[in-house]
Amino acid sequence: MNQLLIHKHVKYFTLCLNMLPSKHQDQDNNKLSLICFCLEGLELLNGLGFSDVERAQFSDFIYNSYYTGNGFRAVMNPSGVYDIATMSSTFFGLQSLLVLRDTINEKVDRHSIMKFVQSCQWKTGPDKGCFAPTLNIDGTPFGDSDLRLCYMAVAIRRILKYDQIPPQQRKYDIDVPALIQYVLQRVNVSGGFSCVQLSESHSGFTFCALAMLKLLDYNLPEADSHQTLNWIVHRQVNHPEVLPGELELRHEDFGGFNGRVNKLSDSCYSWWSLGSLEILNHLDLSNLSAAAQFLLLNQDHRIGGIAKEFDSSPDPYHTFLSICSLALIKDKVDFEGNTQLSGLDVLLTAPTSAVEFLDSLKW
Amino acid sequence: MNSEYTYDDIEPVALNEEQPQLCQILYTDQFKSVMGTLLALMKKNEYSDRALALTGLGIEILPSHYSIWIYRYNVIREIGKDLVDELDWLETISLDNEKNYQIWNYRQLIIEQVIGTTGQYNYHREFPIMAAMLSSDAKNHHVWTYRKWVVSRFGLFADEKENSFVEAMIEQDVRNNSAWNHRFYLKFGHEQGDAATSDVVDEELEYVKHKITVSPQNESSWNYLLGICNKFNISLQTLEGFCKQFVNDGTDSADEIELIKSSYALEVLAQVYNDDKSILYYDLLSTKYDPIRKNYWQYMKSMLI
Repeated sequence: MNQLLIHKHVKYFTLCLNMLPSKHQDQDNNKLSLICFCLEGLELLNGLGFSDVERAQFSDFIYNSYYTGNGFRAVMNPSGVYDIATMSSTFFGLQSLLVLRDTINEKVDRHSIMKFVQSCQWKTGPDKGCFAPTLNIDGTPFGDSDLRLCYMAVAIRRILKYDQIPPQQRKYDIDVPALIQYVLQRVNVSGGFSCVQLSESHSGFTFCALAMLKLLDYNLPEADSHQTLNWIVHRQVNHPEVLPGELELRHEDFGGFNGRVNKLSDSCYSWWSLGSLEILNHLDLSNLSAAAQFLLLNQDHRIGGIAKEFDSSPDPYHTFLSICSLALIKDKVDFEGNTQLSGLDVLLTAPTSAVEFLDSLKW
Repeated sequence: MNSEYTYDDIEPVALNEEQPQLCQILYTDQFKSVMGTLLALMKKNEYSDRALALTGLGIEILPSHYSIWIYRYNVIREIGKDLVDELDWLETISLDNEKNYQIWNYRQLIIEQVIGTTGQYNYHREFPIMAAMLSSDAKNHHVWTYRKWVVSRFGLFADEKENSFVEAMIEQDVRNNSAWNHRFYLKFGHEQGDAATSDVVDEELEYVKHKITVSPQNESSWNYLLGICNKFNISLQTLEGFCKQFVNDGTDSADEIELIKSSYALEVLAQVYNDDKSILYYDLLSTKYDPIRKNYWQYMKSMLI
């Protein structure tokens, strides 16, 4: 398999963007993320062929989840005092609006969004510096807090260009030193990062840590960054026949990446690993053609989309992240369709064109 | 809907009826009824037994929605719900939601409430549910992460049962990286971990070396070994003899043939030697024993001084 089925994937995203079957209803509160994956996926495939009127309608729909004084809510319907923003809805809502070329600088109040983000940061306790996914009705942080949320907080701050205004004009900034300290406590001796201190290294958390530190212009010491590089490089799955058999690997798993040691390949971890390598400036140290092969094999030839592994069903999340991986390596590997992919901004996991649009906005 | 309670007086909120929509989900009737009624109760700020019952149904159908969890948490506090019953309920939904982040965070929150009000908590009740979860998926990330919280909250680093448990898990599957990580946590993760006695370090070195001997091509056990060396500043040179038993490079005498049992042993030796042998080993890794990482091995070769 050496062809990216661009037209099929455009159809797949377009279909999902229109309607999802009821089996997806347990993702209702993650709808803004699904919308974002579809829109950004289409843009990477150069398939975002919507008219200005359609774009405006889409933006209006997304703004239904936004309300001044907070961020974006997880479900579309208001619920009184329980109508509370979440970090992920805010992150994906803003990203989606950028893809639609919506002038967010004129429509959202960045200070109030940052007030929400700031309120989610733990000020004391074992999670000090980290961010919660949302707030209780009394305004205190609530929920499982880890590096995913830290990444989203920093990405939101970047999208709102809060890091680019003089500190005295930032009404509600986050505590960056406490955040960095929290992140650095989550790197294991192996070089991978984990969700809580000394928990198992995980490539998703590793990407979040690396991308966030880079967005904050913080450089890991050389020795640490080599250790992380070594750990990430080892996530690419393969088993040479000359060595004794180990995990039950299928040939189709080769070239993919796992998220943790001794786990199987999963297409989303191709992204978290390749993205991490790119941030470490060493994308070339993995086997990129095997990486592409693994992803292309997981394509669904019937309905389009890319699955997490061979022989399973596609979903918007795995399809989007697989296309991110392919867009990242498109100039380094030959596969049919590579020249039709758009560029990718690794740190925000978003199309370059959307980030260029962001850069053109004046607050 | 829950048949014990009546919600007839509540007008369910109509879900997402405006047009056009994006990613419109075709909700089932049950979803519309439960979520619509739940939203209406939240809007009313109602704290009652029937609200509690409905949050249970809401979480079953939309388990990662924080607002329902927050609402439920506030309901149980307002109506003075028995917290142990709440833990029982959590256990009933855990097995159906293996990849859910919220359940375990909520569980911690409830247990902290129990400790806050009664001053104690019988942590033994945590083990059956964790055992059930791990028997379904022995590498469940959420459960292992939660288990670390239990260990640190109740001071079980040196607990005999916990240590036998992790030993048994490694015994059951020597490639279970979560189990190895938990072992590292028990042995070296407590606040005084840096001061772990040299006895423990020696015991663990011996233990992991035995496991590597049984199964030489296992990244988890090699990482455990290298992790100890890294944490306690033990030079890799001390591993030379151990690693060589897995590496016969065929150069020692003319009639010997190359026999490599572990790519990880080659990696360590390449770092130990830092000379022509390292070049040979990085080339062996590149061409034969770990070719997918060829570019990395060539990079490591270029970094040799």
